[in-house]
Amino acid sequence: MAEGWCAAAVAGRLLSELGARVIKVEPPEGDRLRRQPPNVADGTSPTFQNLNANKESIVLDADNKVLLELISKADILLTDQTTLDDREITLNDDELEGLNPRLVACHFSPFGRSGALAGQPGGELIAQAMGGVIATTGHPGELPHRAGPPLASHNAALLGGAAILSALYDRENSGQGSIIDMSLYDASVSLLYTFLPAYFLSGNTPGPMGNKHMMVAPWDNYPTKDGWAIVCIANDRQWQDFLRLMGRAELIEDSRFAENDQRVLEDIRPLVDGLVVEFLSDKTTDEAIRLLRDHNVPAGPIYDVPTLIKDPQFLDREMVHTFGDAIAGGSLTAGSIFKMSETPGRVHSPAPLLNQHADIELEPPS
Amino acid sequence: MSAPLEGIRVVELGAYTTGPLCARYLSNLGAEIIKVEPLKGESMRTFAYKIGDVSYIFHVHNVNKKSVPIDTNTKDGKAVLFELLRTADVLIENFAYGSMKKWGLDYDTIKAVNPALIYCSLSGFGHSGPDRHLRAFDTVIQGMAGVMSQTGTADGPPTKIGISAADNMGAAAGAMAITAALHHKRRTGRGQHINISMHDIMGWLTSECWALVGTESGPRRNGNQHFAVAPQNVFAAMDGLVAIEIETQKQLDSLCAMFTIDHIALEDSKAHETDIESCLQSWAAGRTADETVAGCLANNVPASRVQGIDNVAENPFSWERDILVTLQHPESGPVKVLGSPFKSNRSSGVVSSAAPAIGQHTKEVLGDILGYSDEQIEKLAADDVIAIADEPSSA
Repeated sequence: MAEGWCAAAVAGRLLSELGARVIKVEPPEGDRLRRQPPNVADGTSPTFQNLNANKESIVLDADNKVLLELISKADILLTDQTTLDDREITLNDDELEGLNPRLVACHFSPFGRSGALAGQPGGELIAQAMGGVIATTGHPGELPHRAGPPLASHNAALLGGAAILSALYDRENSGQGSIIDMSLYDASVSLLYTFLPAYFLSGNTPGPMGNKHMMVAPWDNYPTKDGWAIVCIANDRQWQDFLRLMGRAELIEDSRFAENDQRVLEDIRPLVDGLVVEFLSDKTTDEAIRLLRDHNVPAGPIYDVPTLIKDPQFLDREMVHTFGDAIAGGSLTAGSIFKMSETPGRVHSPAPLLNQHADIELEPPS
Repeated sequence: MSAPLEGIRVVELGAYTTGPLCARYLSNLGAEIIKVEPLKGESMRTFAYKIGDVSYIFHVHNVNKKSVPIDTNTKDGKAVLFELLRTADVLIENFAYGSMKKWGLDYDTIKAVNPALIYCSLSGFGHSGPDRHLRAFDTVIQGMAGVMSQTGTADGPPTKIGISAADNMGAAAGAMAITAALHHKRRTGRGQHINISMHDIMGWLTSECWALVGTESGPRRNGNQHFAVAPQNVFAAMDGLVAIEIETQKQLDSLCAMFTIDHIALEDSKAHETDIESCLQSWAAGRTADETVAGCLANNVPASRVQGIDNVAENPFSWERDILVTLQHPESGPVKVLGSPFKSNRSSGVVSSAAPAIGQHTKEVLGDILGYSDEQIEKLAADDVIAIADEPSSA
């Protein structure tokens, strides 16, 4: 029960890659992603196809009988609060346990099912806004930005997946199902481990730092002769390697910035950034990255998405999957992130047509 | 109340974030975590922002764990580690590709020790592909995986997500893969090798916009807007920022009713974005952030504050949800750390003990689990194969 590009729908896709049979319960007009531009055609869209590969589709009837029947026979129920609110469906715990005491239900919501904000609406943007992601993304002195990709939803989907599979594992021992309360707020605050300590220690509120790292320097994207290079000098050994590469080995002993704890200081950081800028000023991005990597200094280019989906590393890992022409627009979907020697994640079937699996017959749950 | 992974034993050979955080997530789900660290302690202990002489982040990532320092480069140390691994369900490691092999701890070697072990490798680019040897750090990965190209404004530079997204999500993905592998282990008695790539995960994160590849605009940086649905943006109220986010037709209808705008179909909403946003901006500009949020919510329009780190830390809701908790540390006193994101009607998530001192649990683990005598343990410590924490003076 999850429309749009939301945590519950992402979790469904992830579970399907691991072998679960995932049935998408859609409203009569279809999931809203089917109508989301670009390139909507024939009752679907490339974005819908992308997220919902591997799944089956059944349409919700007026009195929700189909849904309740599915719940009574399922191992796992995934819900999205926005979707339930939109369709005015309530599924209370007693009802679920009555229908299927072995059910593992995972309710995804922006703020969870307990506490002062329980039930408040929101999606990816609001989760990022309340969860501290926006406030820490962007450049100092400017309006902060959301993480472009749906960080909060995908992180909650992964954590929800771990919670679901754990509950399912426990069910084999206890015989009991479980009702999981996975909030995007909790999942997003879980990401703040570099920022919260700084606040708790100093009382100062860390804000966006562009591409710098609060606790490590030098670390940024720096200009080269023909573009940018990311350089991340994570420790003192890499700093020393960098200085040798630069031909400035005499600075290794310089007591102003020999240690990372010094290099991150407000008045020292510009000095060490300046050395990196100086090193890169007469090199192209490619030259610079090759040299830095050859000397064990972490560095890399900035790729756009069209470059990513042709990147040899990404393709070698089978992270781009294309379904044939049969589907409107031909469509790309991500491969499975679960690279496992015995049970590798699989992308096996294109997304369903609306109500393609109306005649579904389900065995009672295991 | 019982946590679902009670009885599962995890050995963590981790450093910094991804491995230790993955293990911490499993501990929140009830697993026992034995942190095997170098004799002088795991690298994160000395990282910036310290409480006493231990990094605050170390405290955050290592709650619930047992510390057993072993010098695994020695023959005797390796023997102790292998004995531990024979009793374990899961091994988590997040070293650079090739390191475990160099140390004689690669999957094939460990599989011979315990074929039922789930061996989870978390690395920058995974254990295959031309870039597998690259040194990888969060920002490098965000850059190479397209994430930075999608974050920030169209006329500004590519921007990383402020938090360490790749480190973080690698840990969450590892936790999900490991719990899946536990099912296979129970059914078949077989372990396996999981190799998670942070680069795969960051690339996967961009997939929402892949449909734009080849279109006129292409995938681009959209500031706080969404590429296909409007309005979604951050607006300046009198005293702070407010996020307003429309996801569904019903919510868009509510917004239109609120401002007496004629019906707009959700799929056409981007065409009306400028007009709607200017309504919202002038409305917010005359109100405080709290009034703006309350006004939107009263009209069934989703909205929230944009919380700074101070707001997250001080909001009673964060403590009410137990996503922030205070633990007592024997030396540092009360320490505020992250709680468990895993909550259910059967378990509220385990957050039971503060991060361990180096070697705090050596005697307990080697004695109780492996049955070593005190004499054996003292001898291994004297030979610098293992380390034991000083006895706390109050004990």
